[in-house]
Amino acid sequence: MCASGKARPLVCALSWVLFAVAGGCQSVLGPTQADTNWRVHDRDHFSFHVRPDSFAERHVDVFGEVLNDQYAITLAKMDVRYGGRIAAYLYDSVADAGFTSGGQGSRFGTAYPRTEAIKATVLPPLDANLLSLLAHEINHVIVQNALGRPGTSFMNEGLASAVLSERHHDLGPRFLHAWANTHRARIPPLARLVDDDEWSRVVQEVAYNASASFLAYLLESYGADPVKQLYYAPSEAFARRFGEIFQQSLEEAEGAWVAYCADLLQAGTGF
Amino acid sequence: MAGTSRARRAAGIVCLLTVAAAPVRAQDAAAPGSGEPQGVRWTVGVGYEQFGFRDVARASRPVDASPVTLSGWGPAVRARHSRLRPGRLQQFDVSASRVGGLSYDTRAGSRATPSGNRAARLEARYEYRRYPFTDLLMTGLDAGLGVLGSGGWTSISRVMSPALDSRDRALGTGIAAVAALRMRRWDRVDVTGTWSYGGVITRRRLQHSASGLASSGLWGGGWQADWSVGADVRTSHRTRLSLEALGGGGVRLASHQSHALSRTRLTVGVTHVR
Repeated sequence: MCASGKARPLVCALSWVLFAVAGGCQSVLGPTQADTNWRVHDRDHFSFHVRPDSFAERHVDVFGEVLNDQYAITLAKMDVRYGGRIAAYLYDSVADAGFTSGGQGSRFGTAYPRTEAIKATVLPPLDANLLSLLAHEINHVIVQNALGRPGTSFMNEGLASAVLSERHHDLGPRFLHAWANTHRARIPPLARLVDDDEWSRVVQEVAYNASASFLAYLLESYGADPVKQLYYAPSEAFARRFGEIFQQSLEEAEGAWVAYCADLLQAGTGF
Repeated sequence: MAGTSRARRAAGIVCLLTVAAAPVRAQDAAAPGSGEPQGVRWTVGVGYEQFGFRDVARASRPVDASPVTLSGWGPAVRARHSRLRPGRLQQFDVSASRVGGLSYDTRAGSRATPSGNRAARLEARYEYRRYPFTDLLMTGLDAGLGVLGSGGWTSISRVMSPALDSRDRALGTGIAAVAALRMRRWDRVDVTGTWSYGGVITRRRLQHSASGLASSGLWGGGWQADWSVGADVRTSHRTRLSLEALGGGGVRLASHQSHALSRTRLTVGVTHVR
């Protein structure tokens, strides 16, 4: 909301006020606090808060190994410095975590970068989807603490998956490029995805995977520096900044990305 | 441990001001009750303020805020000019606080953050209040309604590691409705409780040490709900000992950068009645 703040600053601010004030009791009492029924397990860069005797507690060593690997990979791929400890709150149900599923599955995650914390629902089975969900959320914390506020949802969500480690699961960049190749017809033009007003109107699986694959392509082809420069560009300036940084238009890069994904699949290095 | 020593310091300040006011109170112990308060009052006070910050991931209800609160305590000062007439109050209030040594708090425990994390706040408020209901249910109990306009500056500095820090400065203005209850039942003590709720518009400036490109300005908005309980203890014809507890919280929404703020402030001061 209001990514193009320069154009309509007062309307934008007033819309936030109305959005905030026109609520029920919660907008008077404030957001609820987490309860105290947690056991805490420290594993290097992480403090895992788990429900006693839960599925998450039984697998906390696995999560520690996977996420500490992800931590190192993200720092390396993005060429950034960050040394904070991340608090991971692992809930054992959607309702417990305060998520509203809307009939769309039972695994959700949220990152709170400025308090260096995440929360997620951790339910069986212990599979690639679960590990990549947790890794995606901690990437938000690492990237936003290392770089600051992202300019777009495209960059925010895409980058958190673009740098996924493939050591412990197979839902990293190779999967994303293969997905982009086989779902090309469903992917809207990137010029639409980089517009925050349009982002939420696109099917989320498509928006997340396409943005992640494109950003992974940029990282693999050009390195971290130009991507970090592009990171801050807001929607209305994204295409212009892209041209300045990469010396090509967003449309040209989109074409090159599509060809890159197809080549990977043909070469057998994708899935 | 740090919180305990700060609490002791706050208690010390309260004791000092109480002792300072005591001789005056002794001279004027037999002064009559004032009925409905009138006149101009100047109040200055010092105390401590607790600051709390929670990252907000989803702004739509229910607001999804971090289970971790970045919080701390620090010194606070306030000055107030009040003009009281029968059934009416106009009040101008300025306050400031500076909180350092922030920690990550949950209801299950606390964890220190790198030194350099701090928050500062400067706020000015004007309130116009009327007491349309006097001697409500009992003698000396008044109910009032008012409108509150505010303007303020807030700065939150975070240090993620020795070479990595960020700063979020916000200028804001807001308007709120106020409900108040005033008890002037006793000769020496007036007690007032208020609750206010309203909207806030903010202009924020973000900076991050990673890059000059990270500097950005953005508009936002939100809501703020505050409560206060204050007591004025008459120590002489022209002097009051003023105690106030103020608390509240709100949410500040902005694109990719929403958060919830909370505060609790305890101050003790001296009021001069003209």
